Amino acid sequence: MSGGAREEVRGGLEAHLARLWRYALSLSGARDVAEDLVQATCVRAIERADQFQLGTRLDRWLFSILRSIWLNESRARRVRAGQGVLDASEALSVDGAHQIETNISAAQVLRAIGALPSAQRETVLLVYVEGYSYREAAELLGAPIGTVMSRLAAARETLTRSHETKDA
Amino acid sequence: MATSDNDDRKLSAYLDGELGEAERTTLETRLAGDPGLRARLEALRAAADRTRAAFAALLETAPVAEMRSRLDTALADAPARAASPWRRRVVAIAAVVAIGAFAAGVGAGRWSVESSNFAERDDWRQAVVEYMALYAPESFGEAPSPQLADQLASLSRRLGAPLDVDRLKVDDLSPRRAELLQYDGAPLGQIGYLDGATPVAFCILRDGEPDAALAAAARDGFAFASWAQGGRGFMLIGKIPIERLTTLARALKEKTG
Repeated sequence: MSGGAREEVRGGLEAHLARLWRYALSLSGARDVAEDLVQATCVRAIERADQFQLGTRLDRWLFSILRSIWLNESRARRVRAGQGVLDASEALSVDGAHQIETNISAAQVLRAIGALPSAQRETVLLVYVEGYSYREAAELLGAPIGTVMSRLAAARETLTRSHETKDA
Repeated sequence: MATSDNDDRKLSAYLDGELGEAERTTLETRLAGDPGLRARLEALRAAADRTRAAFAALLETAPVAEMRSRLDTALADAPARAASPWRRRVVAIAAVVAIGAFAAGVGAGRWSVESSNFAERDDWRQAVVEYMALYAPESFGEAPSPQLADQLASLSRRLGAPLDVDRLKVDDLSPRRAELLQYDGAPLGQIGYLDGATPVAFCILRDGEPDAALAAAARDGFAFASWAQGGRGFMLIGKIPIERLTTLARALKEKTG
């Protein structure tokens, strides 16, 4: 019954804010954009709460909403600006590092992650951090499983190399 | 030892538990006999672990308080019940009728019902009450609608209740017009009367609510009576004395039951 879905969405949003923000930040690379993106996601989720399927994972549903808003937004921005989407890597690494300078190692890894191509960065977050299976990630990303596999292997390779270089 | 891109793909999928049975067995056999491949596996494993740790640290910096406060605002702005077409319609009608009401020098009634007066299933009744407050005598027309018979036939079909002009005549009142609206997807019929110059509306919602006896109440000059039977909720409302309204409601209940 839709009333149950509404309640589950309205009551469940708060618990996912931080993770939605982290996903938004790795997509957009800008903290203020990430916050707005989370807000837009909440608003849309509240509007469309009736469409949420009870018994499925709310966080996954919210992630897919956030992603589609981001894609539409960045598409619109690209059209308006007549240029590429804004570069996530700088902001993610700099902002991330700035906020958590006490954690040098995390800051260094974030900088390396920030330098990854955006598709790799997103896939890494979904699979390594958010626990998506390859199939689930492929579904969300609208890409073949082989692509997910290749992105992860490439990202792993880059992150491994940057770590070794740093240690050398 | 350098490994091929294809090995990296396999090692990565292996670490993620995403390798098929056959491929996994083959790879494990190779790993057992190849220290270089094992070292590569460990190096790649560490990358994912470091990534998880870094993102966990990032999570700690999320502006949760700000987002929570914006979420609270968004939740407050959007009512817990889905915005129904009815509500939107109320807004549209409010705009139109308010202009008419002021033009006629009548002034839209300022009246609201505290939600505690109504049970959840009575939300539609509250919507009707709010809507009625905006009605002027002119809202129901100078004369009965020429399409009244057709309108009632259509309402009868949608509401699954026999409605016609004779059945809806009570005391000295005759229906003037009939409209099909909806509330939360359920058909809502409204039959308009004028008692003297005062609009009175008879509303029927086919929503499957349980039977309820006729109950009447008065507030701020409005009187309303409501009851339910046969899976339909009924309501009669107008700014007329409650005794008069109750008499009319009883008659309508009898004739439409």
